[in-house]
Amino acid sequence: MASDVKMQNLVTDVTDALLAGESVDNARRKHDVFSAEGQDLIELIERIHRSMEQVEPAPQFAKNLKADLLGEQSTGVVLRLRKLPARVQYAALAALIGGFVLLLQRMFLGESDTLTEETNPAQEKV
Amino acid sequence: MLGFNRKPKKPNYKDLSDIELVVYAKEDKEAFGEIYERYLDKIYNYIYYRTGNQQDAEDLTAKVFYRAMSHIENYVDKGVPFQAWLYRIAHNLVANFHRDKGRRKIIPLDDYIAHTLHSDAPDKQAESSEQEALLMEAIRRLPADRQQLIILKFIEQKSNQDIGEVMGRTEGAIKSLYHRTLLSLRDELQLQQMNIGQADKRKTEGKG
Repeated sequence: MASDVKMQNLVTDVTDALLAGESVDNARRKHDVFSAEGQDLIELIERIHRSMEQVEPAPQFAKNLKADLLGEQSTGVVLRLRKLPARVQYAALAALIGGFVLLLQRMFLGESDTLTEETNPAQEKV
Repeated sequence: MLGFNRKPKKPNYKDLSDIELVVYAKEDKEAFGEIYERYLDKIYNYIYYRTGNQQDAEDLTAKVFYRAMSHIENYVDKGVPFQAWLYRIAHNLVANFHRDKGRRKIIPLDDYIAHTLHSDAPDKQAESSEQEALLMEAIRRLPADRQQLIILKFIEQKSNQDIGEVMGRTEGAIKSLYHRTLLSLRDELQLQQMNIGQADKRKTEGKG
Protein backbone atom coordinates (compact mmCIF):
# COMPACT_ATOMS: atom_id res chain seq x y z
CA MET A 1 0.00 0.00 0.00
CA ALA A 2 2.75 2.42 1.04
CA SER A 3 4.69 1.32 -2.00
CA ASP A 4 1.65 2.03 -4.19
CA VAL A 5 1.37 5.56 -2.85
CA LYS A 6 5.10 6.04 -3.41
CA MET A 7 4.74 4.90 -7.01
CA GLN A 8 1.68 7.09 -7.53
CA ASN A 9 3.64 10.11 -6.35
CA LEU A 10 6.60 9.15 -8.50
CA VAL A 11 4.62 8.80 -11.73
CA THR A 12 2.76 12.04 -11.07
CA ASP A 13 5.96 13.98 -10.40
CA VAL A 14 7.80 12.45 -13.35
CA THR A 15 4.91 13.31 -15.67
CA ASP A 16 4.68 16.86 -14.35
CA ALA A 17 8.43 17.32 -14.83
CA LEU A 18 8.34 16.01 -18.40
CA LEU A 19 5.36 18.16 -19.33
CA ALA A 20 7.14 21.17 -17.89
CA GLY A 21 10.19 20.34 -20.02
CA GLU A 22 12.34 19.47 -17.03
CA SER A 23 14.58 16.51 -16.25
CA VAL A 24 12.99 13.54 -14.48
CA ASP A 25 16.08 12.96 -12.35
CA ASN A 26 14.90 15.25 -9.57
CA ALA A 27 11.64 13.36 -9.25
CA ARG A 28 13.49 10.07 -9.26
CA ARG A 29 15.85 11.23 -6.53
CA LYS A 30 13.05 12.80 -4.53
CA HIS A 31 11.12 9.56 -4.32
CA ASP A 32 14.19 7.41 -4.09
CA VAL A 33 12.67 4.87 -6.47
CA PHE A 34 15.10 2.82 -8.46
CA SER A 35 13.11 -0.40 -8.69
CA ALA A 36 12.46 -2.16 -12.00
CA GLU A 37 8.81 -1.14 -11.82
CA GLY A 38 9.73 2.49 -11.26
CA GLN A 39 12.15 2.40 -14.18
CA ASP A 40 9.59 0.72 -16.46
CA LEU A 41 6.96 3.30 -15.66
CA ILE A 42 9.31 6.23 -16.17
CA GLU A 43 10.26 4.87 -19.59
CA LEU A 44 6.60 4.36 -20.43
CA ILE A 45 5.73 7.93 -19.41
CA GLU A 46 8.58 9.23 -21.58
CA ARG A 47 7.30 7.14 -24.47
CA ILE A 48 3.74 8.43 -24.13
CA HIS A 49 5.06 11.97 -23.89
CA ARG A 50 7.01 11.52 -27.15
CA SER A 51 4.06 9.91 -28.96
CA MET A 52 1.19 12.11 -27.95
CA GLU A 53 1.47 15.43 -29.64
CA GLN A 54 -1.23 18.00 -29.85
CA VAL A 55 -2.98 17.87 -33.22
CA GLU A 56 -4.83 20.75 -34.82
CA PRO A 57 -8.04 20.57 -36.78
CA ALA A 58 -7.71 21.56 -40.44
CA PRO A 59 -8.17 25.36 -40.72
CA GLN A 60 -10.83 24.97 -43.42
CA PHE A 61 -12.79 22.55 -41.26
CA ALA A 62 -12.60 24.88 -38.27
CA LYS A 63 -13.69 27.85 -40.38
CA ASN A 64 -16.57 26.02 -42.08
CA LEU A 65 -17.89 24.52 -38.87
CA LYS A 66 -17.93 27.91 -37.17
CA ALA A 67 -19.70 29.46 -40.13
CA ASP A 68 -22.27 26.65 -40.13
CA LEU A 69 -22.86 26.95 -36.41
CA LEU A 70 -23.16 30.71 -36.26
CA GLY A 71 -24.79 31.09 -39.66
CA GLU A 72 -27.76 29.13 -38.42
CA GLN A 73 -29.12 32.21 -36.71
CA SER A 74 -31.10 33.41 -39.72
CA THR A 75 -32.29 29.98 -40.78
CA GLY A 76 -33.11 29.32 -37.14
CA VAL A 77 -35.56 32.22 -37.10
CA VAL A 78 -37.17 31.04 -40.33
CA LEU A 79 -37.40 27.52 -38.98
CA ARG A 80 -38.97 28.76 -35.76
CA LEU A 81 -41.53 30.75 -37.74
CA ARG A 82 -42.37 27.72 -39.84
CA LYS A 83 -43.02 25.71 -36.71
CA LEU A 84 -45.69 28.18 -35.55
CA PRO A 85 -49.40 27.40 -36.22
CA ALA A 86 -50.74 28.68 -39.58
CA ARG A 87 -53.09 31.26 -38.02
CA VAL A 88 -50.21 32.71 -36.01
CA GLN A 89 -48.16 32.91 -39.19
CA TYR A 90 -51.09 34.73 -40.95
CA ALA A 91 -51.44 37.07 -37.98
CA ALA A 92 -47.72 37.81 -38.06
CA LEU A 93 -47.91 38.44 -41.82
CA ALA A 94 -50.96 40.70 -41.41
CA ALA A 95 -49.20 42.64 -38.64
CA LEU A 96 -46.14 43.01 -40.83
CA ILE A 97 -48.17 44.25 -43.81
CA GLY A 98 -50.24 46.52 -41.56
CA GLY A 99 -47.11 48.02 -40.09
CA PHE A 100 -45.69 48.57 -43.53
CA VAL A 101 -48.88 50.25 -44.77
CA LEU A 102 -48.94 52.46 -41.68
CA LEU A 103 -45.36 53.44 -42.33
CA LEU A 104 -46.14 54.32 -45.97
CA GLN A 105 -49.23 56.23 -44.91
CA ARG A 106 -47.22 58.28 -42.47
CA MET A 107 -44.61 58.99 -45.08
CA PHE A 108 -47.03 60.18 -47.79
CA LEU A 109 -50.11 61.39 -45.89
CA GLY A 110 -47.88 63.01 -43.33
CA GLU A 111 -46.39 65.15 -46.11
CA SER A 112 -49.83 66.08 -47.51
CA ASP A 113 -50.97 67.06 -43.98
CA THR A 114 -48.04 69.43 -43.75
CA LEU A 115 -48.96 70.85 -47.13
CA THR A 116 -52.54 71.37 -46.00
CA GLU A 117 -51.33 73.13 -42.87
CA GLU A 118 -49.11 75.37 -44.97
CA THR A 119 -51.89 76.25 -47.43
CA ASN A 120 -54.58 76.80 -44.83
CA PRO A 121 -53.27 80.16 -43.50
CA ALA A 122 -53.19 81.48 -47.07
CA GLN A 123 -56.76 80.40 -47.61
CA GLU A 124 -57.77 82.23 -44.43
CA LYS A 125 -56.16 85.42 -45.75
CA VAL A 126 -58.20 85.19 -48.95
CA MET B 1 -35.51 59.66 -23.84
CA LEU B 2 -32.80 58.77 -26.28
CA GLY B 3 -31.25 56.25 -23.93
CA PHE B 4 -34.60 54.68 -23.11
CA ASN B 5 -34.48 52.09 -25.86
CA ARG B 6 -30.75 51.68 -25.87
CA LYS B 7 -29.62 48.05 -25.57
CA PRO B 8 -27.22 47.21 -22.75
CA LYS B 9 -23.64 47.28 -23.99
CA LYS B 10 -22.43 43.88 -25.14
CA PRO B 11 -19.39 42.75 -23.15
CA ASN B 12 -16.17 41.62 -24.74
CA TYR B 13 -16.76 37.88 -24.73
CA LYS B 14 -13.06 37.11 -24.71
CA ASP B 15 -12.80 38.60 -21.22
CA LEU B 16 -15.58 36.51 -19.71
CA SER B 17 -15.24 33.33 -17.73
CA ASP B 18 -16.80 30.17 -19.15
CA ILE B 19 -19.81 30.36 -16.88
CA GLU B 20 -20.47 34.02 -17.70
CA LEU B 21 -20.08 33.22 -21.37
CA VAL B 22 -22.59 30.38 -21.19
CA VAL B 23 -25.23 32.80 -19.85
CA TYR B 24 -24.77 34.99 -22.94
CA ALA B 25 -24.49 31.99 -25.27
CA LYS B 26 -28.04 31.01 -24.38
CA GLU B 27 -29.22 34.14 -26.20
CA ASP B 28 -26.40 35.16 -28.49
CA LYS B 29 -24.65 32.93 -30.99
CA GLU B 30 -21.65 35.21 -31.00
CA ALA B 31 -21.03 34.17 -27.39
CA PHE B 32 -21.31 30.57 -28.47
CA GLY B 33 -18.71 31.38 -31.12
CA GLU B 34 -16.30 32.32 -28.34
CA ILE B 35 -16.97 29.01 -26.58
CA TYR B 36 -16.25 27.31 -29.90
CA GLU B 37 -12.94 29.14 -30.24
CA ARG B 38 -11.93 28.20 -26.71
CA TYR B 39 -12.72 24.52 -26.95
CA LEU B 40 -12.46 23.46 -30.58
CA ASP B 41 -8.83 22.28 -30.32
CA LYS B 42 -9.37 20.51 -27.01
CA ILE B 43 -12.44 18.62 -28.15
CA TYR B 44 -10.88 17.82 -31.50
CA ASN B 45 -7.76 16.42 -29.82
CA TYR B 46 -9.81 14.38 -27.40
CA ILE B 47 -11.84 12.84 -30.22
CA TYR B 48 -8.85 12.42 -32.52
CA TYR B 49 -7.01 10.34 -29.94
CA ARG B 50 -10.16 8.36 -29.14
CA THR B 51 -10.95 7.54 -32.78
CA GLY B 52 -7.54 7.60 -34.42
CA ASN B 53 -8.33 9.40 -37.63
CA GLN B 54 -8.96 12.88 -38.91
CA GLN B 55 -12.23 12.21 -40.74
CA ASP B 56 -14.04 10.72 -37.77
CA ALA B 57 -12.53 13.34 -35.49
CA GLU B 58 -13.96 16.10 -37.69
CA ASP B 59 -17.40 14.48 -37.95
CA LEU B 60 -17.70 13.91 -34.24
CA THR B 61 -16.27 17.30 -33.30
CA ALA B 62 -18.93 18.95 -35.44
CA LYS B 63 -21.60 16.85 -33.74
CA VAL B 64 -20.32 17.83 -30.30
CA PHE B 65 -20.66 21.54 -31.04
CA TYR B 66 -24.06 21.16 -32.71
CA ARG B 67 -25.31 19.24 -29.72
CA ALA B 68 -23.77 21.72 -27.29
CA MET B 69 -25.39 24.60 -29.13
CA SER B 70 -28.83 23.01 -29.14
CA HIS B 71 -28.65 22.05 -25.45
CA ILE B 72 -26.90 25.07 -24.00
CA GLU B 73 -30.24 26.61 -23.07
CA ASN B 74 -30.71 23.76 -20.61
CA TYR B 75 -27.21 24.00 -19.14
CA VAL B 76 -27.26 24.53 -15.39
CA ASP B 77 -24.12 25.49 -13.50
CA LYS B 78 -23.65 22.89 -10.80
CA GLY B 79 -20.20 24.03 -9.78
CA VAL B 80 -18.49 21.68 -12.22
CA PRO B 81 -16.29 23.30 -14.90
CA PHE B 82 -18.19 23.97 -18.11
CA GLN B 83 -15.65 22.00 -20.10
CA ALA B 84 -16.66 18.87 -18.18
CA TRP B 85 -20.07 19.23 -19.84
CA LEU B 86 -18.48 19.48 -23.29
CA TYR B 87 -16.21 16.51 -22.63
CA ARG B 88 -19.24 14.55 -21.45
CA ILE B 89 -20.97 15.21 -24.78
CA ALA B 90 -17.82 14.20 -26.65
CA HIS B 91 -17.42 11.09 -24.52
CA ASN B 92 -21.01 9.99 -25.21
CA LEU B 93 -20.71 10.62 -28.94
CA VAL B 94 -17.44 8.68 -29.16
CA ALA B 95 -19.00 5.81 -27.21
CA ASN B 96 -22.01 5.78 -29.57
CA PHE B 97 -19.68 5.96 -32.56
CA HIS B 98 -17.72 2.89 -31.46
CA ARG B 99 -20.90 1.02 -30.60
CA ASP B 100 -22.78 1.87 -33.80
CA LYS B 101 -19.96 1.31 -36.20
CA GLY B 102 -18.79 -1.83 -34.46
CA ARG B 103 -15.22 -0.73 -34.94
CA ARG B 104 -14.24 -0.12 -31.38
CA LYS B 105 -10.48 0.20 -30.87
CA ILE B 106 -9.54 -0.39 -34.49
CA ILE B 107 -6.76 1.94 -35.46
CA PRO B 108 -6.02 3.08 -38.96
CA LEU B 109 -2.33 2.45 -38.49
CA ASP B 110 -1.19 4.03 -41.73
CA ASP B 111 -3.16 7.13 -41.01
CA TYR B 112 -1.61 7.47 -37.59
CA ILE B 113 1.91 6.79 -38.85
CA ALA B 114 1.52 9.33 -41.65
CA HIS B 115 0.32 11.88 -39.13
CA THR B 116 3.18 11.45 -36.69
CA LEU B 117 6.20 11.21 -38.95
CA HIS B 118 9.09 13.19 -37.60
CA SER B 119 12.26 14.42 -39.27
CA ASP B 120 14.45 11.51 -38.14
CA ALA B 121 16.37 9.21 -40.46
CA PRO B 122 13.94 7.07 -42.51
CA ASP B 123 14.70 3.71 -40.89
CA LYS B 124 14.61 5.18 -37.41
CA GLN B 125 11.48 7.03 -38.40
CA ALA B 126 9.68 3.85 -39.48
CA GLU B 127 10.71 2.04 -36.31
CA SER B 128 9.67 4.83 -34.00
CA SER B 129 6.39 5.32 -35.87
CA GLU B 130 5.64 1.64 -35.52
CA GLN B 131 6.38 1.82 -31.82
CA GLU B 132 4.18 4.88 -31.48
CA ALA B 133 1.38 3.18 -33.36
CA LEU B 134 1.60 0.16 -31.07
CA LEU B 135 1.44 2.43 -28.07
CA MET B 136 -1.56 4.28 -29.45
CA GLU B 137 -3.25 0.96 -30.15
CA ALA B 138 -2.67 -0.07 -26.55
CA ILE B 139 -4.02 3.25 -25.28
CA ARG B 140 -7.17 2.83 -27.38
CA ARG B 141 -7.70 -0.56 -25.85
CA LEU B 142 -7.96 1.02 -22.40
CA PRO B 143 -11.37 1.69 -20.84
CA ALA B 144 -12.81 5.07 -21.87
CA ASP B 145 -12.14 6.82 -18.55
CA ARG B 146 -8.47 5.81 -18.64
CA GLN B 147 -8.11 7.04 -22.21
CA GLN B 148 -9.64 10.33 -21.16
CA LEU B 149 -7.19 10.60 -18.28
CA ILE B 150 -4.19 10.02 -20.56
CA ILE B 151 -5.45 12.57 -23.11
CA LEU B 152 -6.19 15.21 -20.49
CA LYS B 153 -2.78 14.68 -18.91
CA PHE B 154 -0.54 14.54 -21.97
CA ILE B 155 -2.44 16.63 -24.49
CA GLU B 156 -4.19 19.12 -22.26
CA GLN B 157 -1.35 18.99 -19.73
CA LYS B 158 -3.81 19.26 -16.87
CA SER B 159 -2.97 18.64 -13.23
CA ASN B 160 -4.56 15.75 -11.34
CA GLN B 161 -6.85 18.23 -9.60
CA ASP B 162 -8.09 19.72 -12.89
CA ILE B 163 -8.55 16.27 -14.39
CA GLY B 164 -10.53 15.32 -11.30
CA GLU B 165 -12.84 18.29 -11.83
CA VAL B 166 -13.45 17.36 -15.45
CA MET B 167 -13.97 13.68 -14.71
CA GLY B 168 -15.93 14.18 -11.50
CA ARG B 169 -13.40 12.47 -9.23
CA THR B 170 -11.08 13.47 -6.42
CA GLU B 171 -7.44 14.34 -7.00
CA GLY B 172 -6.41 11.23 -5.05
CA ALA B 173 -8.64 9.02 -7.18
CA ILE B 174 -7.06 10.42 -10.34
CA LYS B 175 -3.56 9.87 -8.99
CA SER B 176 -4.39 6.27 -8.23
CA LEU B 177 -6.17 5.74 -11.56
CA TYR B 178 -3.18 7.17 -13.42
CA HIS B 179 -0.81 4.75 -11.72
CA ARG B 180 -3.08 1.77 -12.47
CA THR B 181 -3.47 2.95 -16.05
CA LEU B 182 0.28 3.01 -16.54
CA LEU B 183 0.62 -0.46 -15.06
CA SER B 184 -2.01 -1.90 -17.37
CA LEU B 185 -0.48 -0.12 -20.36
CA ARG B 186 2.94 -1.54 -19.51
CA ASP B 187 1.47 -5.06 -19.27
CA GLU B 188 -0.40 -4.61 -22.55
CA LEU B 189 2.74 -3.44 -24.34
CA GLN B 190 4.76 -6.34 -22.95
CA LEU B 191 2.07 -8.71 -24.24
CA GLN B 192 2.19 -7.05 -27.66
CA GLN B 193 5.96 -7.41 -27.78
CA MET B 194 5.68 -11.09 -26.89
CA ASN B 195 3.10 -11.65 -29.63
CA ILE B 196 5.22 -9.84 -32.19
CA GLY B 197 8.27 -11.86 -31.13
CA GLN B 198 6.36 -15.12 -31.49
CA ALA B 199 4.97 -14.11 -34.89
CA ASP B 200 8.48 -13.22 -36.11
CA LYS B 201 9.80 -16.52 -34.82
CA ARG B 202 7.05 -18.43 -36.67
CA LYS B 203 7.82 -16.52 -39.86
CA THR B 204 11.53 -17.33 -39.59
CA GLU B 205 10.78 -20.99 -38.89
CA GLY B 206 8.36 -21.10 -41.83
CA LYS B 207 11.02 -19.74 -44.18
CA GLY B 208 13.61 -22.17 -42.83
